Amino acid sequence: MTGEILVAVEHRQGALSPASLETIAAAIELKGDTDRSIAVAVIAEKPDDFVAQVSKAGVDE
Amino acid sequence: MPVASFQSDVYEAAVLALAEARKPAVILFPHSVDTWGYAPAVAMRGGFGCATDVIDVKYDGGDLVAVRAVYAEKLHMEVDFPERETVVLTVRTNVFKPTEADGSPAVSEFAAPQTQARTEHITYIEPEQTGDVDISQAEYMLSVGRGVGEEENVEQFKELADSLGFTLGCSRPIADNGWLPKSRQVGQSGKTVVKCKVYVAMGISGSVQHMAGMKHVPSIIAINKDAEASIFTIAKYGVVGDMFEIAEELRGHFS
Ligand SMILES: Cc1cc2nc3c(=O)[nH]c(=O)nc-3n(C[C@H](O)[C@H](O)[C@H](O)COP(=O)(O)OP(=O)(O)OC[C@H]3O[C@@H](n4cnc5c(N)ncnc54)[C@H](O)[C@@H]3O)c2cc1C
Repeated sequence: MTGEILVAVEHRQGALSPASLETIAAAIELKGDTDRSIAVAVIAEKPDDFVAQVSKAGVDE
Repeated sequence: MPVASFQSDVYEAAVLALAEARKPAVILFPHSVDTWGYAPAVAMRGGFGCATDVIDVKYDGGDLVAVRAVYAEKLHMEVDFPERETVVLTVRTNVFKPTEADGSPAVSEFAAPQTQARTEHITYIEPEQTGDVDISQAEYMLSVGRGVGEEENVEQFKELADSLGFTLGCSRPIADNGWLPKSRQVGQSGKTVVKCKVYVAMGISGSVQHMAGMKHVPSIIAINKDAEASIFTIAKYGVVGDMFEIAEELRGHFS
């Protein structure tokens, strides 16, 4: 199987939305036993601020 | 040109550019007021498959299958996407439990395309808090269903829940009757108790709609006078008995 799972997260007032973390969890569950990787995209002026928040076990990039 | 606040056009262009560069099999978005606007547009422009407000997603063999609730949530429908290399899905909130474990993924930068936003962010208005409690965050829940019988009986279960350090929840008929606020309703048209560790269901039959909000809880304790009630199919511990008598017993133990 090819093709990664891309998650586009969202933020408000400098904070990641709780729904974004749930969507990352959905990606991790979907990834399951497949060999697909998960990439999380933060679209922001300063995306670095969110790196730690989206760095969950199971996320590859 | 990424901006500090949400801009639909900017996000749409950025995700499309990412999709073009990375050819993902799936793009997941939270199902939110932001993505209602731009996720279907991403799917349309990219020629991708699309399903919104999905409550489950899985691979069946090699094929992606998304689950949506349809007909006023009475049915669950599976959607597949034959011959779509990329599929856009928006994921319903309060369904998946956030992962707590941290990881150390690779970090890379991607330059978003220059986009002229058609909207301007002026100010942010904090939404009014409507619910009295956020049951999606509660770790210990005691919920009452129609077995509670009458409105005046609800208070004693509120007191019991408080004395145990539990948060009081309910099934839909209780919220529909106005006996407890809607914010306390567990289930498909209420809330999923995402963080719950122990869930005590008293006088709740266990409809699919109710279970949708709590079946994932590791310790479910069901109290129902009907031994055939569906709630027992998912309960870890079950008591066939009268909820008022059991409540009295519990009061005796914990007071
Ligand atoms: C579109 C849609 C969305 C819905 N969303 C939700 C939702 O989000 N959440 C939800 O809960 N429902 C939802 N429902 C309603 C759902 O279908 C059920 O009608 C509802 O869950 C039933 O609630 P209940 O278990 O409290 O009542 P009942 O099904 O009437 O069950 C009452 C139970 O109490 C037991 N009982 C009675 N007296 C006692 C006693 N003294 N001691 C112990 N046990 C007793 C009975 O044996 C029975 O099992 C939805 C329905 C639809 C169509």
